[in-house]
Amino acid sequence: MLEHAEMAMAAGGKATPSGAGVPMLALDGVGRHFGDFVAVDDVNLELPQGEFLTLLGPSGSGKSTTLYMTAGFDRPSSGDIRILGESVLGLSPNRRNVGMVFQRYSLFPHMTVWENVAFPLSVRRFSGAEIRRRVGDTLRLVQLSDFAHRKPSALSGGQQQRVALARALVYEPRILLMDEPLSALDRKLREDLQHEIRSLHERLDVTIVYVTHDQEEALQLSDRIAVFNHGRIVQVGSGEQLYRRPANSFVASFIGASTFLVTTVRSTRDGVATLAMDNAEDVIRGPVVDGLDPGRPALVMLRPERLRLRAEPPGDDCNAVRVRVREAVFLGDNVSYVTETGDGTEIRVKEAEHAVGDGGFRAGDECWLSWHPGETHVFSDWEDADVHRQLG
Amino acid sequence: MLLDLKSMGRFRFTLYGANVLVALFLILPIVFIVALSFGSSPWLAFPPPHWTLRWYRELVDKREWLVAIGNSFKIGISVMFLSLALGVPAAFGLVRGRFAGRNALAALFMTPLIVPLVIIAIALYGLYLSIGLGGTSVAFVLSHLVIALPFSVIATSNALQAFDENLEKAAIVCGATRLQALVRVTLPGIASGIVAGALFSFLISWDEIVLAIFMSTPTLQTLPVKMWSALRLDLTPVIAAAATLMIALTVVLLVFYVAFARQGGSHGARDDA
Repeated sequence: MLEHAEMAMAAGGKATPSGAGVPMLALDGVGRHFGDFVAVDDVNLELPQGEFLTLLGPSGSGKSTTLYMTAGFDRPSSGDIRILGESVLGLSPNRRNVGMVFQRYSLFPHMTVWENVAFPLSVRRFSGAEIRRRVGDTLRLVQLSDFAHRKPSALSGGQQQRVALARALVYEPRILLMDEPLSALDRKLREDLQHEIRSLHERLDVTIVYVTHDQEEALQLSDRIAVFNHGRIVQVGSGEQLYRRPANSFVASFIGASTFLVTTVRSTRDGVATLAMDNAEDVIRGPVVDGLDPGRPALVMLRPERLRLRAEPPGDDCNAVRVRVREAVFLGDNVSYVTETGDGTEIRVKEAEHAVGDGGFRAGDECWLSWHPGETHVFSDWEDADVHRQLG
Repeated sequence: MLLDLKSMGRFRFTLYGANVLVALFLILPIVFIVALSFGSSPWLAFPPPHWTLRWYRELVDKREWLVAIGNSFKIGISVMFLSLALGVPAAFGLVRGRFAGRNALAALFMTPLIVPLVIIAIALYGLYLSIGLGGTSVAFVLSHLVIALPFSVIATSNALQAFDENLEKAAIVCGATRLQALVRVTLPGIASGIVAGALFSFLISWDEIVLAIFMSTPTLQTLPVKMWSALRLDLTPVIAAAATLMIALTVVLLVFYVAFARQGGSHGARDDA
């Protein structure tokens, strides 16, 4: 006891404003094992105060388990979780002072909207006046003041989720955890609520950890995204970084819709890899990455919006593949093509409407597919699932 | 729907007919008894020649009937509370617990519904005699508790299974202790199940006769036992009046339950809609 008190004094005596330099939330080598099954493996994350971080991944990738360990409903088998530098592993969920929004609203059905939002304050023994003030303010914030005396069952899904947000924010938690909060809503409502969550985050400056399997939602909302696969974080970065420079084929397949081609390495010279497509005389040039050896297979990923269709063969500095247009669909702001190479390999192309001009290509047209070699993403190692994820 | 009434043609009238017959079969004895209790004929003639409240007056004038009704209430209410006190925690254990033999235990809780009542009665009778509880109201309550418990366990288990456990997590992450979450969120959420368990426990005891005959003494009788023994001595419409009172209370309790369940007792399951 004495030791602790002295340490606390010493820490307080340094007189540094708390939070400066210390991350709001830190996961340090966090793992969770169920017998032989590894649900979460060596997860390391640091969130500065006010960051919006999304844990993105397919179901069963460990993102939800990580969130529930942060909330305190599950205990890591290894590693540490710290809030403002202090380990919270010994604290039960009700003492971690975090807010949480669940997938299926989880409002208390026998209480009114007002009582739901007042609940966290009343268990904290706030005074009646303080409860009235805070609940009133928070309901105004989510624009539900007029619904204060309704039961949750009398509200729409979107309204219920806004009540859940209000209930999670009313006690000003240090961190807000959200577990796929929009997955039960239809598309239109989901977009409305995304905007609302985004603007609440900006106004309140709260630190948010958000779990989703929806890449668009992740791109829409987050400052940074941590991509999960098989219980591990495979890449952390802004949406832009993940899209432009995917660390591996999994991230490439999970973020953005793209075409994958299995090729054979011909040569790697002067930083340029030459890759042969199966059965085609066409070769693709791309950057050299670790693990490329002549004669070995390599995976090529192409973003549809980086590819161009040309009637004439392009210049030497571009990749060029002879294709036939199988499908051309006008989508307003862009035209979406499905093309196929001589051996039937499918490649998707998306050209901006203004770039196509009048006419464009029609189904059956023979033309050239061209793109800059720098736009070729090359991976020396991949799983079959990554190649097929786009087709499903 | 495959078997749509409209697509059945004339066959549906057969169905209507069968339904009416079943309904009459169930309701007529009750109508009969109620009518007889207001009839003037002391020999239970039907249809009653005149209407009267005489038998009800006789029922309340005779102390022995009032005592029997009082005993039924005392025993029924005790059974109800004990059944909840044991059944609700048992349901929590069965639904939330993760232990070997859970299914076997759940089946064990249901055995009083399957074992013939008379066998339970003989077994309990022997047991109470040997431990000196024979002829006491404690023996009465305990024996009714045996057959009431499955109902409170089933009703609470069902409500608990339909209850979204995330609500409890939500309460705890909001800052509530486990006890606060239980009292303020979980118990209100499964209230309809608990109330159903309570009502059925009471009603089981209220109209039970097999165990009651074994447990009763000349001075300790519940209403059904009193009716049964009165019936053996002489056939009086007072019995019909007592039966009508029993039916009335049962109906009132069931109507109360339906009203309660409808105004929002089914909270836990609502999310699934």
